[in-house]
Amino acid sequence: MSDSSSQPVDTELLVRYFSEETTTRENNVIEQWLNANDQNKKEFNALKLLWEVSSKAKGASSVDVKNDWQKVKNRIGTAPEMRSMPPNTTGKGSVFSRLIKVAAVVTLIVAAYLTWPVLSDFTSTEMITITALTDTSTVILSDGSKIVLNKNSRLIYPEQFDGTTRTVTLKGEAFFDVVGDPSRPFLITSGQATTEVVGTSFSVNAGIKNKVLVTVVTGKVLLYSEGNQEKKLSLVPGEQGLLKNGLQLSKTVNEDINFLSWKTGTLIFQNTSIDEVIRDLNKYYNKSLKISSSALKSCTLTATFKQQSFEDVLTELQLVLPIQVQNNERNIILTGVGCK
Amino acid sequence: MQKTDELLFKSIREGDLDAFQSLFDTYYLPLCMYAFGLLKDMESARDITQDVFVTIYESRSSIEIKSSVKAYLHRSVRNACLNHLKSTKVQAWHQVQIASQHSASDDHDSMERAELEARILGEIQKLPAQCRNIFQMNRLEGRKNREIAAELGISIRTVETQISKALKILRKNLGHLMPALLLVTTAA
Repeated sequence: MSDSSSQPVDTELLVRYFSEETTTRENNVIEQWLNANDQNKKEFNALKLLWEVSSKAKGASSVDVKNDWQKVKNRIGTAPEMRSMPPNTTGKGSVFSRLIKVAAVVTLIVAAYLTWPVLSDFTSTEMITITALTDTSTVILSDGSKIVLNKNSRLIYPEQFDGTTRTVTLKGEAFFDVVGDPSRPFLITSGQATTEVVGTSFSVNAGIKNKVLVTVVTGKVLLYSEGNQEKKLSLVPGEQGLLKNGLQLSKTVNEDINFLSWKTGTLIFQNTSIDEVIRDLNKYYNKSLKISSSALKSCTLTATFKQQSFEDVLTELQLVLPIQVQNNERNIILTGVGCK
Repeated sequence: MQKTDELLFKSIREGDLDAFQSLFDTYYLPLCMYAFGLLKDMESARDITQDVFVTIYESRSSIEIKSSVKAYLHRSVRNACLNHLKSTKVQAWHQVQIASQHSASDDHDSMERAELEARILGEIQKLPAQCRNIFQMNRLEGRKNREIAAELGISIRTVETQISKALKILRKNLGHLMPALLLVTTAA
């Protein structure tokens, strides 16, 4: 207690202080800590600011952006979005092939813990950083290429592309719609992975530790690691390339029809096992849904959820499957005797 | 950032609904908060902001944007709010007076502030449920920690821990915004 300058901030004490519930003795402790150095003062001001501003958001908590967007969209009454998935009708394959026709999309899911590469390649032009925090964000690059960033993702790109390549850096997940230009290949660097495209559309996710996953819907994409640019994995529609730990390259067939759900807002399940359903729901809604017993694993689901709230989805699950939803403090648990 | 908005608007002009949604997602909440500041009524604020977006989309090919998309949106919402106030009640007239006396720079700041507040709100929504609930009871409902503890049947200590956890998460996730936030707040 004697040397308060080296103590880390006691946030709980500050909470009491901001709530005006501290004792005189506690006030003295805070004052001492505050006066110990400028860093402490800065920290105090930052927290106090958050404290004050967070009470102003009162009215805004009633604003449902998703819902209001639907209202606006209905009013402007245009044709359905070009890239939204058609409602499911028949088998898995047909949804997928239709998606290919409609979208001309290549999805590239890149996952890695990233250290920012030094962007010395384009010092001549200003670099722009776009970070999508709570919602997706659309960016149009100077060459006309369009990128949709998923939540919690970041893109760094030059204001103008000059030189022989078009290079951008991604952290997180994004969907790319690249304008064709064979003379200037489009490169996406994410950690140690580089993805090269000549001209097509695709999506990148750099969110999982030490993994880079590339899924191609149309077009042709090359995936390679920074350390070994000789070995390039060539990927064609329907294929998925994986770069693990910056070294191991492998190729599989993409079977996940929901890989673009973050962008389309649509989740499609066709006779899908409950485990996979839960995986996709957890990813899309950022929840931790769990099943209580392995008996439930016998259940499968066929349903399409289009921009529905998590609560709606849970209600629907309970209607179509013999399961109950239980909320506890940390998790949402699905219970039931199974489907056999 | 503004550069991007301008490019986005290019796509909107061509009828790109994705691009329009992106613009909506970015500015809808801050604009609602800004309108709320003028109207003191969130329902009207939302309606008016939606009207502005609909009008913009419908006249997307003819709109001339001289400054920035953001400034344009901001001005449109502001004008719509003032018109709304004028048309509703005579008593509201003084509000119009007050609102129209704001200088352009005040106004710019209030929009910036609304944007930052919207970001903070977004982060609050992402807090773990229990933590968010308690934090909001304190911050939004203005309840005493003691009252929150009694209502939820937990100790005051737990309430304080949850609130401080919320603050820590916000601090961590919004750290990069703090300089801007401090600037806007002190300028106000």
